[in-house]
Amino acid sequence: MRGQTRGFGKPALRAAVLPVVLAAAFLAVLASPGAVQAQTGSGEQLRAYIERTDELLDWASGLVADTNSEQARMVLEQAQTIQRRATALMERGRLLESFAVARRARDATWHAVRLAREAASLEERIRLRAERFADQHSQLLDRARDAGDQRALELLQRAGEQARRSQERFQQGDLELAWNLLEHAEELLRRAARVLAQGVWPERLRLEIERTHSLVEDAGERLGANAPAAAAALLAEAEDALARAEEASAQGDPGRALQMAGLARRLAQRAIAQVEPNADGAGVTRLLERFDERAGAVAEAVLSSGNEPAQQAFARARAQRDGAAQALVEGHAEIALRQVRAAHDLLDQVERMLR
Amino acid sequence: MPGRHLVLLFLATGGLAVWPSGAARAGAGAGQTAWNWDLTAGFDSFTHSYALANTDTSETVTEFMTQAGFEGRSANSGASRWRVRGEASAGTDLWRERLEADWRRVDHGGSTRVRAAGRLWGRQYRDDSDYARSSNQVEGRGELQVVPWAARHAELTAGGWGTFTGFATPSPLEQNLREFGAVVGARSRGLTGPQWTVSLRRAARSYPDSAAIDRKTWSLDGDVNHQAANGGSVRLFHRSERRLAAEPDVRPDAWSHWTDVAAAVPALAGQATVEIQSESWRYGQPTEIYLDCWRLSGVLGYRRGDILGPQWSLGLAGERFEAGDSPESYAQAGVRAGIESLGGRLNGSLSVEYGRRDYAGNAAGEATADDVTGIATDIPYSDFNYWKLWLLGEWRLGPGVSLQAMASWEPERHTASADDASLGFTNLRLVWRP
Repeated sequence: MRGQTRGFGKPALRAAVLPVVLAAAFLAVLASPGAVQAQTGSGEQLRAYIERTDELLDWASGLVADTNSEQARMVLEQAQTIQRRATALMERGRLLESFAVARRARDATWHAVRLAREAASLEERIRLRAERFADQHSQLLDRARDAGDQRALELLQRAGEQARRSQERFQQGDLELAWNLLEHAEELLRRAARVLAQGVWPERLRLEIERTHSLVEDAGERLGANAPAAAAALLAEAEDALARAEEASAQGDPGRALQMAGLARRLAQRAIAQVEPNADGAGVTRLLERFDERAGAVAEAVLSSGNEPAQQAFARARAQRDGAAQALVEGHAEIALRQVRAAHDLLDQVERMLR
Repeated sequence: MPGRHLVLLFLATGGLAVWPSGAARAGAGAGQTAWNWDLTAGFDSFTHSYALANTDTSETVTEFMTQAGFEGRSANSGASRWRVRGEASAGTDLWRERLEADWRRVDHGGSTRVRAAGRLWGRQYRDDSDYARSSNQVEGRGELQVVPWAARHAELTAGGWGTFTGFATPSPLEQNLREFGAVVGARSRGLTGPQWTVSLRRAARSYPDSAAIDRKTWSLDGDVNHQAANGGSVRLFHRSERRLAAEPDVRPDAWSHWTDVAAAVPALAGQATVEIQSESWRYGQPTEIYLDCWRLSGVLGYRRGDILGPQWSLGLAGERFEAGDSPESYAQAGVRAGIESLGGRLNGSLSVEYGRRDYAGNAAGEATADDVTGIATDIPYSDFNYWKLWLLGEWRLGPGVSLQAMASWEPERHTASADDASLGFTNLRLVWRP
């Protein structure tokens, strides 16, 4: 369905005021002494002005025809219509009205040329962007499918739909909108790439919950049976938050699952802080130990597989683990945490490659 | 009619797909072939407002549609992997069909050694469609890529593609076209370390009804992407292209150079981000419409939050466009803010940018002295303030059911109000994936 409305707002006001001012100047010439000669002279000037606009219209038609812009064509058509009216008014001797209308035809001609120039540049830019979009979309789609990342796949599907809308607008000659839609499609692609790069779903969520499990269990062991009441209450809240995180994960709500897992970790750390300081370091240590267990389980399989990418990833995972241990020794718990999580991510990749 | 053939093709393949869907989905997982189907209903609405001679024009196109689709894909762990997707939709203006398929042969390291893909799209306009260009059309693309040689860290690639677009009633604005191309290149191997590609492409596009605008292109591109363990990342992309026109008097030869740089660095519990893009065009014979030009744009920003939780960002955006003595040259600056959350049942993003563009020439927006100074340097451009709003949302109503929305609005308020313009887009979809 297409609706088209035309009204007289500010542009119309400007278009109305300008001819009045010009017409007043024209009238001043006509009312001055020697009006007969002046009128003849003004008629010649008007004819020259209209002829020049005709030339500009011919020139503009050539430019517009070179592009795919529907808007440029519509504005040019309007300019031609107005110009014909100006010519008719001039031939009937209605010089003042003719001049006002001719000015509008000239403005519309410039407008059409501006649109044609923008369109000529946009056509090629859209083509280049669309080619790159298609390449990246295809690569990311393969990666998302291999990783089983449903969130990234959904974003990629919407990106593809947006790119197709852009293509349809392009074919209709609505180039600005086509460009706009393609930019949005690219933004969706970038988001999908970020989701994939961070291994958000489901791998990262699994890791986060696993990490939270470790921390809550660790807190339970440290607190022991004779923990202060306040610490025990915090631990119970942490366990409850962890259960809610698992429930949200099972229901396909990773955002809430991550929030709940984060809450569970904070509560567990506060519980440990009730009985001993430096809880962050303990959490990292636990993750380091967990990494060593996992790495030990796959090390032989990696070496005997002959799978070079897996071996490289394994070596990088070990390097990240050592970096985390070093950072922990130097008292940089946050850096250590990031590195040990990266090590676990790489180990996940290794496991996938070996499957 | 190509469209009718596509519908038949879709129904045939869709019929095959629907039969195994129930059984396959019951045990569908990462290690098994999976068939899915989906139903969608919704609408798209596009609005473009601009001055048409002496009046404001708001052109709004709204299309309601329903769509059925199916998708089948192999296990993602085998050596041979394939995917097929088909869609057909009925809209108030158009019938659409789409069929896509690809097949890959993957080696033990997870790298693709052979990839073949094809797609076929069809569009048929209803008799009462209001679209100005309403010739039924069919569009296809086939591509093949192979890896003839692979080493420990890199591999060579070679391939080719062919595309075509055919219109039932060709016209100067709806032209049949064909394109064939070949590409050779190299890329990184494996999933670890920096990912990079380098490609050299050669393509030839022809328009059977308008050979004057046929063209050949050579292009060289490179892309490097590195994700650091600390969460930072950097991406570099460059493409240079040489376009050789069949008749340079009609459409000039051209060089284009396009560079993208994007980086994110951990800072203050978030990420500092920078994006820079440079794009230049040099024509063999610059004309009044094809002007040599250079565009530089960028965003400097800060992002904080988890990608699955609430995340916010702030940034400064800028753009500079140089086109010699043309009054079209401009400088633009804006402020951008955004929030997003991709992990919940209700997820999406909202971004807003406000800024101003100042043209180099004739800020008053008046055409002056055109009879004296000539045609090409006299076109008036008026400065403007702008808003850019973009909304993306999804609400998961229940298992397999979601409501998706997308909207954007970009109004420009010019110093010459006759140049005011705005672009808008709204899209709403109810999706059911049983």
